Amino acid sequence: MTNTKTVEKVKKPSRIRITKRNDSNFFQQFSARGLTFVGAIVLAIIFLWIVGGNNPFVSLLYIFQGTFAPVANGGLSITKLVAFLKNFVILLGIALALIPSYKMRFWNIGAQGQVLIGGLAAAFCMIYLPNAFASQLADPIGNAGAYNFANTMIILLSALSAMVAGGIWAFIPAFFKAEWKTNETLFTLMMNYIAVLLVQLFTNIWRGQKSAMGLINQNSNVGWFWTMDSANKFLSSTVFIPLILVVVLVATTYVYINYTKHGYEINVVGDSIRTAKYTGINVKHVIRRTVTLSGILCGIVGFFIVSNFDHTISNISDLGYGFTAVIVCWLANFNSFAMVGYSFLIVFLEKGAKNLADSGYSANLNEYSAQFIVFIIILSVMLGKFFMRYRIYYTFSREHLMKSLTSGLLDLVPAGEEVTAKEAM
Amino acid sequence: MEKAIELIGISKRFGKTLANDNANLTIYKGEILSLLGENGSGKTTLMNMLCGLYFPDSGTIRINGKEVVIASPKDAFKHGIGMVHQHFKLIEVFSASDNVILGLKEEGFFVDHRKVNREVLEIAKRYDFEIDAKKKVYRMSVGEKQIVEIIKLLYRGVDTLILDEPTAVLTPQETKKLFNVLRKMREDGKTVIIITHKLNEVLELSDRVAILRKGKIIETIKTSEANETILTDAMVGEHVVLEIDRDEPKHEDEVLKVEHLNCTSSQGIKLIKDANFSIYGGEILGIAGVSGSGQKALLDAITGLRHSDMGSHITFKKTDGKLEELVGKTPKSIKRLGVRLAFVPEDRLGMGLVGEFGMTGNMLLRSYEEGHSYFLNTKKPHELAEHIKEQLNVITPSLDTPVRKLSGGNVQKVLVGREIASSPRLLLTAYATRGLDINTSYAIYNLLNEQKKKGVAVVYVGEDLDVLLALTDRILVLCDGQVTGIVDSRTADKMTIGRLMSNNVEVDHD
Repeated sequence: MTNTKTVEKVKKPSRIRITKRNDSNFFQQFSARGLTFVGAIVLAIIFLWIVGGNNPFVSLLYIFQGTFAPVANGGLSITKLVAFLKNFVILLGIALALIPSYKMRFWNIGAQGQVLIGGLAAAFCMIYLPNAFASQLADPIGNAGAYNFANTMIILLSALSAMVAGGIWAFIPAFFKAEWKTNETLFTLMMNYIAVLLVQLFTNIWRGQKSAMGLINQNSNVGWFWTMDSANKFLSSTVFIPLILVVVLVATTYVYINYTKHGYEINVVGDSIRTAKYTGINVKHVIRRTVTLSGILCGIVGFFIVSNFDHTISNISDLGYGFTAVIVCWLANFNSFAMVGYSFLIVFLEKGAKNLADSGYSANLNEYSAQFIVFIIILSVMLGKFFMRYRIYYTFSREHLMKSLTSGLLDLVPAGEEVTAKEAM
Repeated sequence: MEKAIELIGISKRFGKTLANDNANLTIYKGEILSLLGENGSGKTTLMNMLCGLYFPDSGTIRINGKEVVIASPKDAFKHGIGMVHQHFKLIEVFSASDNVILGLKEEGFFVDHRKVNREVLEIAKRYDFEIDAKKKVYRMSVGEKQIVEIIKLLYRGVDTLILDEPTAVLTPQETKKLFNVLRKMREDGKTVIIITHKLNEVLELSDRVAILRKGKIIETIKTSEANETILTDAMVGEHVVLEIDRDEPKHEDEVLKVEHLNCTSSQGIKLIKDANFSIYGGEILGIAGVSGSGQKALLDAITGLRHSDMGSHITFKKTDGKLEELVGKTPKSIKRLGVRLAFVPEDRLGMGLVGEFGMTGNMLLRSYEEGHSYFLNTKKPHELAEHIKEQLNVITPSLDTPVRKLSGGNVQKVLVGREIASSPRLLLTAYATRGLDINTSYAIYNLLNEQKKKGVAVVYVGEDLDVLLALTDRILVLCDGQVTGIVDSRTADKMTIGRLMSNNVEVDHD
């Protein structure tokens, strides 16, 4: 009979115990972060040395020059810097857009779809609106006033429709979450696939018989976002205005989350839905409003990608940052200022890895092995966070373990939280 | 009779509270033993140490005369001890038999589902369970889930079963079935321990009853020699004199009138059954009852957090004499009606406060919407936080320190302080002093008394009968969702209340 079966072997409790730190002081924080970072650099150097087979410090220099490349007459390469800043602005923009959702613990991983659908809406306007404004656009030099008005209208309508499209893309999963408690992670992920396929569908239509879509309005430049009129290469680049806007957005999201009534509601709902209900907050409404806001911001990013940076669209227009932004958001603990640093670090490493591979300094250091360095450094950042929050104990014997159990040093089951885990053992 | 398990001098401390204090208990083979005691008397903690969830601070456990160490549920299984917890630990999307074999290494990598199903059904047949081994847990009623939990233990060869308040969630019919099963197990030579505070169940089912009070085993009686009075007396103990100042109630206005209040849970279980009572200004109305008798549903219904059934009426009399019907309203619409109602919920950090916010942020919870500005106005809440910190002596490093980092007493002061600051006409409190030390508890009692003097209608839901008798003016006793009586605290005694609380006469509901 099975019901007389007894479990013979009893596994000893694990000797390694991980407990949460209640508080860590500045020194602990600093050492946990600093040491893991230094460790990562050392590891990276060893990796470059072994795999590359030549001077690892030269390799590191190539990584650095991915963003800050010197030019012949001294100074830095504006082209490289602008390329870096474009990626930086996009990544930071998406990460900032995610803050409201994430603060509310709505795990929106649909930024990719929200950005792409926003970009698609902008592309739609850029392609079809010029027909509607054909008469005004007919004579750019003779009737500059009408031309500028029409062009401005097209740009503004592109931006508006991108916002609406991104907002709708986020509103749908939010609505289902609010009404029927569907899982937002899966739902937003699925919305990504739909957006990607829609973009593929329309780019195929638009390219027609050509092999690629090419730039939208390549000759007329209608619907292209404005750039500064300046002799300075940096000021007149496509990245200057978005850079300013994203800096404004860093401050705005911070203020929105911390100093407005909406932000307060988001924080309460994120902390405890029961508290929110007790207070009388309309939880469903807050979920819908907040996630839609995230989608609108993602839509704007999509608009900038299409109308400002690329002047075209493809299913990889978001550079994969729809997902990278999730990592940035987590690393930065949803703090918009910290996101600036993490976005910078990630794009800097990516550009460096690319540069190292392109340089041909070592045949072995292709783009994939170079990206391994990125991985090591990101991992070190996460490890640093882990050591900041947790403390690891090692107990030497079962007796010692029992003693620490009884002394309350390791209060393993304080409030029944670990009961399930232990039961399942 | 043969001794199965001996607990000798077991103590367990959680922070400042002593959950078990030198408890001694002997359990014999093939008996049904009841552990009886009020909330917080240490019944569950004691059993958790036997089944490996907690480890005792001191004391020894002997099984079949041999001293053993039980450090994990696995160790407990090794000794044939298993427990069915109050909150089931089942995987909702698994079938009954999948849950039964969950975590068993012997099953190997591939599971022979037919074999497991057959074995589960064998066990079921042996003890007269009704179960469908393939049914998914999320489709099951509470009673069925409990059966899965029991079979899970039997499958692992457990011969000492501990059940934590097994009947709290069951219908009378299900309870009857469960008792039959437990009797069958006794016939089969298994030992059954049930944790309960229902007297009639103790008398009906068990062979012996062990009574706990304040973490100690006070007495062990043979059920054949016990009756309700003996058990109640042993359970509640002698009257402890508490020195709480109590003024005569002014009995001003009838602030709240509850008529024919019925509440039904989403599972269709009746939580409140036709409650009728009034609360007056200038009095403290105590609400007594074993946990889960409908206290929470009652307060939630008044505050608009729970829907009441059709035909229920909750009427609030505002200061200007205007009457407002609260049934069918949300917390927000109640607030907009100008009904000054404050609520100190049981779950302080999960419901009353936001753990991540500091004191100022938590003051804002009640007032953040005020004003037309889009931005938060933290000036007044900051002043209020400062005021409460000084008045109630809240110990916190700063007003912005997350309140979850504060001690339980300070958390409660923040919550009560905020609720009182809204100058309510009706103040509802649920377990306002649970887990607090004596001094903080008295501070809270004084606050409630001050409110009473101001003419506020105060509701105090409590579990300690001594406190209820010393603090309140009237006590409403709930049992299984029913108001079983409203007594005068000055003349009533604990025995009467205890009997009203477990007024659980076998009633057939259909």
